[in-house]
Amino acid sequence: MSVTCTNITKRYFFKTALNNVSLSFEPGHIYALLGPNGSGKSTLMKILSGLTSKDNGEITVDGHPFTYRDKAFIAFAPTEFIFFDYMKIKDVAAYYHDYFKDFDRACFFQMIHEFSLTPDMKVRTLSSGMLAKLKIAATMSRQARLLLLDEPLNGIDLLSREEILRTILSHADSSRAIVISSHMVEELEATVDTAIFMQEGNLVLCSDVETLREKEGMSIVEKYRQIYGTTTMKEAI
Amino acid sequence: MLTTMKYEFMKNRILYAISLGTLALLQVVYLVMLPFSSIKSSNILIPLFLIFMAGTIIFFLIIINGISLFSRDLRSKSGYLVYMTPTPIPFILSAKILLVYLSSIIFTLGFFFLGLADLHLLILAGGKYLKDDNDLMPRVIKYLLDNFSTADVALKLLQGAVIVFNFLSTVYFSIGLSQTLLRNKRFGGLISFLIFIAITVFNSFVSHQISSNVLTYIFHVGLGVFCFIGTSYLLVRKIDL
Repeated sequence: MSVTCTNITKRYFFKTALNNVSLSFEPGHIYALLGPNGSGKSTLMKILSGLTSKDNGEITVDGHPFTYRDKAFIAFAPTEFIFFDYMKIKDVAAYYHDYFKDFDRACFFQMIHEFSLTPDMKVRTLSSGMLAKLKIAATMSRQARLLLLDEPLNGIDLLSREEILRTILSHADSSRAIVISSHMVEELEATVDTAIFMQEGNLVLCSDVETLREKEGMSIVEKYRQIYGTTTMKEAI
Repeated sequence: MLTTMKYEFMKNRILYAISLGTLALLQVVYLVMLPFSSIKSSNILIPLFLIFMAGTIIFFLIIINGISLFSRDLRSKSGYLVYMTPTPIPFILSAKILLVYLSSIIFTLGFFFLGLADLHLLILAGGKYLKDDNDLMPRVIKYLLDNFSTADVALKLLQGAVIVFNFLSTVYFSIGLSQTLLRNKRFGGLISFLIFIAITVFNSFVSHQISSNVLTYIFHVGLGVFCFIGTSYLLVRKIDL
Protein backbone atom coordinates (compact mmCIF):
# COMPACT_ATOMS: atom_id res chain seq x y z
CA MET A 1 0.00 0.00 0.00
CA SER A 2 1.44 3.31 -1.06
CA VAL A 3 0.44 6.49 0.75
CA THR A 4 1.14 9.78 -0.94
CA CYS A 5 0.81 13.27 0.53
CA THR A 6 0.66 16.13 -1.92
CA ASN A 7 1.04 19.73 -0.81
CA ILE A 8 -0.35 19.10 2.68
CA THR A 9 -0.85 22.32 4.62
CA LYS A 10 -2.09 22.76 8.18
CA ARG A 11 -2.40 26.06 9.95
CA TYR A 12 -3.16 26.84 13.59
CA PHE A 13 -4.30 30.40 14.16
CA PHE A 14 -1.08 32.33 13.38
CA LYS A 15 1.21 29.27 13.07
CA THR A 16 1.73 27.07 10.02
CA ALA A 17 2.27 23.52 11.28
CA LEU A 18 2.73 22.01 7.82
CA ASN A 19 3.51 23.96 4.72
CA ASN A 20 2.97 22.29 1.33
CA VAL A 21 4.50 19.00 2.39
CA SER A 22 4.68 16.35 -0.31
CA LEU A 23 5.88 12.86 0.57
CA SER A 24 5.32 9.26 -0.38
CA PHE A 25 5.47 6.18 1.88
CA GLU A 26 6.16 2.93 0.06
CA PRO A 27 5.89 -0.59 1.47
CA GLY A 28 9.10 -2.30 2.48
CA HIS A 29 10.70 0.86 3.84
CA ILE A 30 11.39 2.18 7.32
CA TYR A 31 11.31 5.95 7.47
CA ALA A 32 12.78 8.21 10.13
CA LEU A 33 10.77 11.39 10.52
CA LEU A 34 13.22 13.85 12.01
CA GLY A 35 13.18 17.41 13.22
CA PRO A 36 13.16 19.52 16.35
CA ASN A 37 10.02 20.17 18.39
CA GLY A 38 7.40 22.06 16.41
CA SER A 39 8.69 20.91 13.05
CA GLY A 40 5.36 19.27 12.15
CA LYS A 41 6.18 15.56 12.63
CA SER A 42 3.29 14.75 14.95
CA THR A 43 0.85 16.87 12.94
CA LEU A 44 1.78 14.95 9.79
CA MET A 45 1.24 11.63 11.57
CA LYS A 46 -2.11 12.73 12.99
CA ILE A 47 -3.26 13.84 9.55
CA LEU A 48 -2.17 10.50 8.06
CA SER A 49 -4.11 8.62 10.74
CA GLY A 50 -7.24 10.73 10.31
CA LEU A 51 -7.09 12.40 13.72
CA THR A 52 -6.51 15.87 12.37
CA SER A 53 -7.90 17.41 9.22
CA LYS A 54 -5.66 19.15 6.73
CA ASP A 55 -6.40 22.64 5.44
CA ASN A 56 -5.07 22.02 1.95
CA GLY A 57 -3.53 19.28 -0.14
CA GLU A 58 -4.39 15.69 -0.82
CA ILE A 59 -3.64 12.29 0.66
CA THR A 60 -4.03 9.29 -1.58
CA VAL A 61 -3.85 5.62 -0.66
CA ASP A 62 -2.95 3.45 -3.61
CA GLY A 63 -4.12 6.27 -5.85
CA HIS A 64 -7.53 6.91 -4.27
CA PRO A 65 -8.33 9.76 -1.85
CA PHE A 66 -7.93 8.89 1.84
CA THR A 67 -11.22 7.93 3.55
CA TYR A 68 -12.18 6.57 6.98
CA ARG A 69 -11.92 3.04 5.50
CA ASP A 70 -8.16 3.50 5.08
CA LYS A 71 -7.80 3.76 8.86
CA ALA A 72 -8.25 -0.01 8.83
CA PHE A 73 -4.81 -0.26 7.18
CA ILE A 74 -3.00 2.49 9.07
CA ALA A 75 -1.78 1.96 12.63
CA PHE A 76 -0.78 4.91 14.75
CA ALA A 77 1.05 4.91 18.09
CA PRO A 78 0.94 8.46 19.47
CA THR A 79 3.45 9.62 22.01
CA GLU A 80 0.75 10.48 24.59
CA PHE A 81 -1.28 8.31 26.98
CA ILE A 82 -4.31 7.36 24.92
CA PHE A 83 -5.97 4.49 26.74
CA PHE A 84 -9.15 4.73 28.77
CA ASP A 85 -8.68 4.94 32.52
CA TYR A 86 -10.52 1.72 33.31
CA MET A 87 -8.44 -0.41 30.95
CA LYS A 88 -6.19 -3.29 31.79
CA ILE A 89 -3.72 -4.60 29.22
CA LYS A 90 -6.16 -7.36 28.24
CA ASP A 91 -8.84 -4.68 27.67
CA VAL A 92 -6.50 -2.95 25.23
CA ALA A 93 -6.21 -6.25 23.32
CA ALA A 94 -9.99 -6.62 23.31
CA TYR A 95 -10.41 -3.06 22.09
CA TYR A 96 -7.96 -3.47 19.20
CA HIS A 97 -9.46 -6.86 18.37
CA ASP A 98 -12.96 -5.38 18.23
CA TYR A 99 -12.00 -2.51 15.97
CA PHE A 100 -9.18 -3.75 13.77
CA LYS A 101 -9.60 -6.89 11.71
CA ASP A 102 -5.83 -7.07 11.20
CA PHE A 103 -5.10 -7.27 14.94
CA ASP A 104 -3.31 -10.45 15.96
CA ARG A 105 -4.11 -11.25 19.62
CA ALA A 106 -1.58 -14.07 19.86
CA CYS A 107 1.17 -11.80 18.57
CA PHE A 108 0.10 -9.08 21.03
CA PHE A 109 0.20 -11.34 24.08
CA GLN A 110 3.50 -12.81 22.91
CA MET A 111 4.99 -9.32 22.75
CA ILE A 112 3.45 -8.40 26.11
CA HIS A 113 5.12 -11.45 27.59
CA GLU A 114 8.47 -10.58 25.99
CA PHE A 115 8.17 -7.06 27.41
CA SER A 116 7.62 -8.55 30.90
CA LEU A 117 4.09 -7.16 31.13
CA THR A 118 1.03 -9.11 32.24
CA PRO A 119 -2.55 -8.94 30.86
CA ASP A 120 -4.04 -7.96 34.21
CA MET A 121 -1.90 -4.88 34.70
CA LYS A 122 -3.89 -1.66 34.91
CA VAL A 123 -2.82 0.66 32.12
CA ARG A 124 -3.09 3.74 34.38
CA THR A 125 -0.44 2.37 36.72
CA LEU A 126 2.20 1.56 34.08
CA SER A 127 5.48 3.43 34.00
CA SER A 128 6.33 5.45 30.89
CA GLY A 129 8.63 2.66 29.67
CA MET A 130 5.95 0.02 30.14
CA LEU A 131 3.42 2.24 28.44
CA ALA A 132 5.72 2.76 25.47
CA LYS A 133 6.08 -1.01 25.18
CA LEU A 134 2.32 -1.51 25.41
CA LYS A 135 1.71 1.01 22.63
CA ILE A 136 4.33 -0.67 20.46
CA ALA A 137 2.81 -4.11 21.14
CA ALA A 138 -0.72 -2.93 20.30
CA THR A 139 0.40 -1.13 17.15
CA MET A 140 2.85 -3.72 15.86
CA SER A 141 0.34 -6.54 16.45
CA ARG A 142 -1.74 -5.08 13.68
CA GLN A 143 -0.88 -6.27 10.20
CA ALA A 144 -1.29 -2.66 9.06
CA ARG A 145 0.20 -1.49 5.77
CA LEU A 146 1.40 1.81 7.22
CA LEU A 147 2.70 2.00 10.79
CA LEU A 148 3.16 5.43 12.31
CA LEU A 149 5.19 5.51 15.53
CA ASP A 150 5.39 8.94 17.11
CA GLU A 151 8.38 9.25 19.44
CA PRO A 152 8.30 5.58 20.50
CA LEU A 153 11.65 5.95 22.30
CA ASN A 154 10.77 9.01 24.36
CA GLY A 155 11.42 8.95 28.08
CA ILE A 156 12.57 5.35 28.35
CA ASP A 157 15.83 3.73 29.31
CA LEU A 158 18.48 2.48 26.90
CA LEU A 159 17.67 -1.22 27.25
CA SER A 160 13.96 -0.65 26.65
CA ARG A 161 14.77 1.51 23.64
CA GLU A 162 16.88 -1.29 22.19
CA GLU A 163 14.11 -3.78 22.91
CA ILE A 164 11.56 -1.60 21.13
CA LEU A 165 13.81 -1.05 18.12
CA ARG A 166 14.42 -4.82 17.89
CA THR A 167 10.67 -5.43 17.95
CA ILE A 168 10.06 -2.82 15.25
CA LEU A 169 12.78 -4.36 13.05
CA SER A 170 11.45 -7.88 13.56
CA HIS A 171 8.02 -6.77 12.33
CA ALA A 172 9.27 -4.93 9.27
CA ASP A 173 8.58 -6.65 5.98
CA SER A 174 8.08 -5.88 2.33
CA SER A 175 4.32 -5.41 2.67
CA ARG A 176 4.35 -2.50 5.10
CA ALA A 177 5.88 0.92 5.52
CA ILE A 178 7.00 2.02 8.97
CA VAL A 179 7.45 5.67 9.91
CA ILE A 180 9.26 6.48 13.15
CA SER A 181 9.53 10.00 14.48
CA SER A 182 12.20 10.48 17.09
CA HIS A 183 14.76 12.73 18.66
CA MET A 184 17.03 9.71 19.21
CA VAL A 185 18.70 10.15 15.82
CA GLU A 186 21.73 8.02 16.60
CA GLU A 187 19.64 5.05 17.65
CA LEU A 188 17.58 5.17 14.48
CA GLU A 189 20.66 5.19 12.25
CA ALA A 190 20.89 1.40 12.05
CA THR A 191 17.13 0.86 11.84
CA VAL A 192 15.81 3.11 9.08
CA ASP A 193 16.49 3.19 5.35
CA THR A 194 14.99 6.59 4.55
CA ALA A 195 15.36 9.83 6.47
CA ILE A 196 12.87 12.69 6.28
CA PHE A 197 14.04 16.01 7.72
CA MET A 198 11.43 18.61 8.65
CA GLN A 199 11.76 22.12 9.97
CA GLU A 200 9.03 24.58 10.97
CA GLY A 201 6.43 22.71 8.96
CA ASN A 202 8.52 22.45 5.82
CA LEU A 203 10.01 19.35 4.28
CA VAL A 204 13.75 20.00 4.15
CA LEU A 205 14.96 16.72 2.75
CA CYS A 206 13.77 13.18 2.09
CA SER A 207 16.69 10.94 1.31
CA ASP A 208 17.68 7.32 1.17
CA VAL A 209 20.15 6.71 4.00
CA GLU A 210 22.52 4.78 1.73
CA THR A 211 22.48 7.57 -0.84
CA LEU A 212 23.25 10.04 1.93
CA ARG A 213 26.23 7.96 2.97
CA GLU A 214 27.54 7.29 -0.55
CA LYS A 215 26.97 10.65 -2.22
CA GLU A 216 27.44 13.04 0.66
CA GLY A 217 29.52 10.82 2.94
CA MET A 218 27.23 11.66 5.84
CA SER A 219 25.39 9.67 8.46
CA ILE A 220 21.88 10.73 9.52
CA VAL A 221 23.34 12.31 12.64
CA GLU A 222 25.80 14.36 10.61
CA LYS A 223 23.09 15.43 8.21
CA TYR A 224 20.86 16.32 11.16
CA ARG A 225 23.68 18.43 12.59
CA GLN A 226 24.18 20.12 9.25
CA ILE A 227 20.49 20.95 8.82
CA TYR A 228 19.53 21.98 12.33
CA GLY A 229 22.83 23.25 13.67
CA THR A 230 24.46 22.69 17.00
CA THR A 231 21.67 24.21 19.12
CA THR A 232 19.08 21.63 18.23
CA MET A 233 21.71 18.90 18.15
CA LYS A 234 21.84 18.93 21.95
CA GLU A 235 18.13 18.23 21.98
CA ALA A 236 18.47 15.53 19.37
CA ILE A 237 21.05 13.31 20.98
CA MET B 1 -21.69 1.45 15.92
CA LEU B 2 -22.60 -1.22 18.46
CA THR B 3 -18.91 -1.65 19.29
CA THR B 4 -18.59 2.06 19.95
CA MET B 5 -21.70 1.94 22.15
CA LYS B 6 -20.18 -0.99 24.03
CA TYR B 7 -17.01 0.99 24.84
CA GLU B 8 -18.97 4.13 25.68
CA PHE B 9 -20.96 1.95 28.07
CA MET B 10 -17.71 0.67 29.61
CA LYS B 11 -16.55 4.24 30.19
CA ASN B 12 -19.83 4.98 31.99
CA ARG B 13 -20.03 1.78 33.94
CA ILE B 14 -19.20 3.29 37.34
CA LEU B 15 -22.06 5.76 37.01
CA TYR B 16 -24.40 2.95 36.00
CA ALA B 17 -23.24 0.82 38.92
CA ILE B 18 -23.83 3.71 41.34
CA SER B 19 -27.29 4.25 39.85
CA LEU B 20 -28.24 0.59 40.21
CA GLY B 21 -26.77 0.47 43.71
CA THR B 22 -28.82 3.53 44.74
CA LEU B 23 -31.95 1.98 43.27
CA ALA B 24 -31.36 -1.33 45.06
CA LEU B 25 -30.64 0.41 48.37
CA LEU B 26 -33.77 2.58 48.24
CA GLN B 27 -35.86 -0.41 47.24
CA VAL B 28 -34.55 -2.47 50.13
CA VAL B 29 -35.27 0.39 52.55
CA TYR B 30 -38.78 0.70 51.14
CA LEU B 31 -39.53 -3.04 51.31
CA VAL B 32 -38.19 -3.25 54.86
CA MET B 33 -40.30 -0.30 55.96
CA LEU B 34 -43.48 -1.41 54.19
CA PRO B 35 -44.68 -4.18 56.57
CA PHE B 36 -44.02 -1.98 59.60
CA SER B 37 -45.71 1.13 58.26
CA SER B 38 -49.31 2.08 58.43
CA ILE B 39 -50.86 3.19 55.16
CA LYS B 40 -51.80 6.38 57.00
CA SER B 41 -48.22 6.96 57.95
CA SER B 42 -46.28 9.42 55.85
CA ASN B 43 -42.94 7.77 56.81
CA ILE B 44 -43.29 5.29 53.99
CA LEU B 45 -43.46 8.23 51.62
CA ILE B 46 -39.82 9.10 52.26
CA PRO B 47 -38.14 6.15 50.45
CA LEU B 48 -40.83 6.33 47.78
CA PHE B 49 -40.15 10.01 47.25
CA LEU B 50 -36.40 9.29 47.20
CA ILE B 51 -36.86 6.67 44.48
CA PHE B 52 -38.57 9.22 42.22
CA MET B 53 -36.05 11.88 43.21
CA ALA B 54 -33.06 9.60 42.55
CA GLY B 55 -34.49 8.77 39.12
CA THR B 56 -34.55 12.47 38.26
CA ILE B 57 -31.03 13.11 39.59
CA ILE B 58 -29.60 10.10 37.77
CA PHE B 59 -31.26 11.23 34.56
CA PHE B 60 -29.39 14.54 34.76
CA LEU B 61 -26.14 12.87 35.86
CA ILE B 62 -26.15 10.56 32.82
CA ILE B 63 -26.83 13.48 30.48
CA ILE B 64 -24.08 15.63 32.05
CA ASN B 65 -21.62 12.73 32.08
CA GLY B 66 -22.34 11.92 28.42
CA ILE B 67 -21.78 15.53 27.39
CA SER B 68 -18.59 15.68 29.43
CA LEU B 69 -17.25 12.46 27.84
CA PHE B 70 -17.98 13.73 24.33
CA SER B 71 -16.18 16.95 25.11
CA ARG B 72 -13.26 15.16 26.78
CA ASP B 73 -12.77 12.85 23.78
CA LEU B 74 -12.36 15.91 21.57
CA ARG B 75 -10.02 17.69 23.99
CA SER B 76 -7.88 14.95 25.50
CA LYS B 77 -5.74 12.23 23.98
CA SER B 78 -8.14 9.42 24.89
CA GLY B 79 -10.10 10.65 21.87
CA TYR B 80 -7.31 9.22 19.68
CA LEU B 81 -8.46 5.72 20.58
CA VAL B 82 -12.01 6.56 19.54
CA TYR B 83 -11.37 8.49 16.35
CA MET B 84 -8.48 6.46 14.90
CA THR B 85 -10.76 3.45 14.41
CA PRO B 86 -12.14 2.76 10.92
CA THR B 87 -15.62 3.82 12.04
CA PRO B 88 -17.40 6.62 10.17
CA ILE B 89 -17.57 9.69 12.39
CA PRO B 90 -21.39 10.00 12.09
CA PHE B 91 -21.57 6.44 13.48
CA ILE B 92 -19.32 7.36 16.43
CA LEU B 93 -21.46 10.41 17.10
CA SER B 94 -24.67 8.37 16.80
CA ALA B 95 -23.32 5.76 19.22
CA LYS B 96 -22.39 8.41 21.77
CA ILE B 97 -25.74 10.21 21.56
CA LEU B 98 -27.74 6.99 21.45
CA LEU B 99 -26.07 5.57 24.53
CA VAL B 100 -26.65 8.72 26.60
CA TYR B 101 -30.17 8.93 25.23
CA LEU B 102 -31.10 5.31 25.88
CA SER B 103 -29.34 4.97 29.22
CA SER B 104 -30.83 8.20 30.62
CA ILE B 105 -34.32 7.16 29.53
CA ILE B 106 -33.97 3.52 30.62
CA PHE B 107 -32.60 4.39 34.06
CA THR B 108 -35.16 7.11 34.64
CA LEU B 109 -38.02 4.89 33.51
CA GLY B 110 -36.61 2.09 35.65
CA PHE B 111 -36.76 4.28 38.73
CA PHE B 112 -40.13 5.69 37.74
CA PHE B 113 -41.79 2.33 37.12
CA LEU B 114 -40.29 0.86 40.25
CA GLY B 115 -41.72 3.79 42.16
CA LEU B 116 -45.11 3.14 40.57
CA ALA B 117 -44.87 -0.57 41.39
CA ASP B 118 -44.06 0.32 44.98
CA LEU B 119 -47.04 2.63 45.04
CA HIS B 120 -49.20 -0.17 43.69
CA LEU B 121 -47.87 -2.45 46.39
CA LEU B 122 -48.90 0.11 48.96
CA ILE B 123 -52.38 0.34 47.45
CA LEU B 124 -52.71 -3.45 47.55
CA ALA B 125 -51.58 -3.41 51.16
CA GLY B 126 -54.17 -0.88 52.26
CA GLY B 127 -56.58 -0.02 49.48
CA LYS B 128 -59.44 0.69 51.85
CA TYR B 129 -57.69 3.76 53.16
CA LEU B 130 -57.81 5.37 49.74
CA LYS B 131 -61.30 6.59 50.53
CA ASP B 132 -60.05 8.57 53.46
CA ASP B 133 -59.37 12.05 52.10
CA ASN B 134 -57.83 13.38 55.29
CA ASP B 135 -54.51 11.53 55.01
CA LEU B 136 -51.60 12.63 52.88
CA MET B 137 -50.81 9.21 51.42
CA PRO B 138 -54.25 8.50 49.94
CA ARG B 139 -54.36 12.00 48.51
CA VAL B 140 -51.02 11.50 46.73
CA ILE B 141 -52.14 8.15 45.35
CA LYS B 142 -55.49 9.50 44.21
CA TYR B 143 -53.82 12.45 42.52
CA LEU B 144 -51.50 10.18 40.57
CA LEU B 145 -54.28 7.83 39.54
CA ASP B 146 -56.65 10.59 38.54
CA ASN B 147 -54.17 12.67 36.58
CA PHE B 148 -51.96 10.17 34.80
CA SER B 149 -53.66 7.73 32.46
CA THR B 150 -51.56 5.33 30.35
CA ALA B 151 -52.04 7.58 27.33
CA ASP B 152 -50.87 10.60 29.30
CA VAL B 153 -47.79 8.78 30.48
CA ALA B 154 -47.00 7.59 26.94
CA LEU B 155 -47.38 11.12 25.58
CA LYS B 156 -45.20 12.58 28.31
CA LEU B 157 -42.53 9.96 27.58
CA LEU B 158 -42.59 10.76 23.88
CA GLN B 159 -42.35 14.47 24.60
CA GLY B 160 -39.46 13.83 26.97
CA ALA B 161 -37.66 11.69 24.39
CA VAL B 162 -37.96 14.41 21.73
CA ILE B 163 -36.77 17.12 24.11
CA VAL B 164 -33.77 15.05 25.27
CA PHE B 165 -32.75 14.34 21.65
CA ASN B 166 -33.10 17.99 20.72
CA PHE B 167 -31.10 19.13 23.77
CA LEU B 168 -28.30 16.57 23.28
CA SER B 169 -27.92 17.38 19.57
CA THR B 170 -27.74 21.10 20.30
CA VAL B 171 -25.16 20.68 23.06
CA TYR B 172 -23.03 18.29 20.95
CA PHE B 173 -23.18 20.73 18.06
CA SER B 174 -21.86 23.61 20.16
CA ILE B 175 -19.12 21.39 21.66
CA GLY B 176 -18.23 20.17 18.16
CA LEU B 177 -18.03 23.78 17.04
CA SER B 178 -15.79 24.82 19.94
CA GLN B 179 -13.42 21.87 19.33
CA THR B 180 -13.14 22.27 15.56
CA LEU B 181 -13.79 25.60 13.86
CA LEU B 182 -13.36 27.65 17.05
CA ARG B 183 -10.48 25.62 18.50
CA ASN B 184 -7.43 27.74 19.35
CA LYS B 185 -9.51 30.83 18.64
CA ARG B 186 -9.74 33.57 21.22
CA PHE B 187 -13.10 33.34 23.06
CA GLY B 188 -13.89 30.16 21.08
CA GLY B 189 -15.55 28.53 24.10
CA LEU B 190 -17.61 31.63 24.83
CA ILE B 191 -18.69 31.97 21.19
CA SER B 192 -19.81 28.33 21.02
CA PHE B 193 -21.73 28.77 24.28
CA LEU B 194 -23.44 31.86 22.86
CA ILE B 195 -24.30 29.88 19.74
CA PHE B 196 -25.84 27.20 21.99
CA ILE B 197 -27.89 29.88 23.78
CA ALA B 198 -28.96 31.38 20.43
CA ILE B 199 -30.13 27.97 19.14
CA THR B 200 -32.01 27.33 22.39
CA VAL B 201 -33.71 30.74 22.27
CA PHE B 202 -34.57 30.23 18.59
CA ASN B 203 -35.93 26.76 19.43
CA SER B 204 -38.07 28.16 22.23
CA PHE B 205 -39.27 31.13 20.17
CA VAL B 206 -40.35 29.01 17.18
CA SER B 207 -41.98 26.45 19.48
CA HIS B 208 -44.16 29.16 20.99
CA GLN B 209 -45.19 30.39 17.55
CA ILE B 210 -46.41 26.95 16.52
CA SER B 211 -49.89 26.25 17.83
CA SER B 212 -49.97 22.52 17.05
CA ASN B 213 -48.21 20.18 19.48
CA VAL B 214 -47.39 17.71 16.72
CA LEU B 215 -45.76 20.41 14.59
CA THR B 216 -43.77 21.60 17.60
CA TYR B 217 -42.33 18.14 18.11
CA ILE B 218 -41.60 17.75 14.41
CA PHE B 219 -39.72 21.06 14.63
CA HIS B 220 -37.77 19.84 17.70
CA VAL B 221 -36.79 16.63 15.91
CA GLY B 222 -35.89 18.55 12.74
CA LEU B 223 -33.64 20.96 14.64
CA GLY B 224 -32.05 18.01 16.47
CA VAL B 225 -31.33 16.25 13.17
CA PHE B 226 -29.91 19.48 11.71
CA CYS B 227 -27.55 19.86 14.70
CA PHE B 228 -26.53 16.20 14.43
CA ILE B 229 -25.67 16.58 10.73
CA GLY B 230 -23.81 19.80 11.51
CA THR B 231 -21.73 18.12 14.24
CA SER B 232 -20.93 15.18 11.96
CA TYR B 233 -19.85 17.55 9.20
CA LEU B 234 -17.62 19.53 11.56
CA LEU B 235 -15.96 16.40 12.91
CA VAL B 236 -15.45 14.84 9.48
CA ARG B 237 -14.07 18.00 7.88
CA LYS B 238 -12.41 19.82 10.73
CA ILE B 239 -11.45 17.29 13.37
CA ASP B 240 -8.34 18.37 15.23
CA LEU B 241 -7.21 16.10 18.05
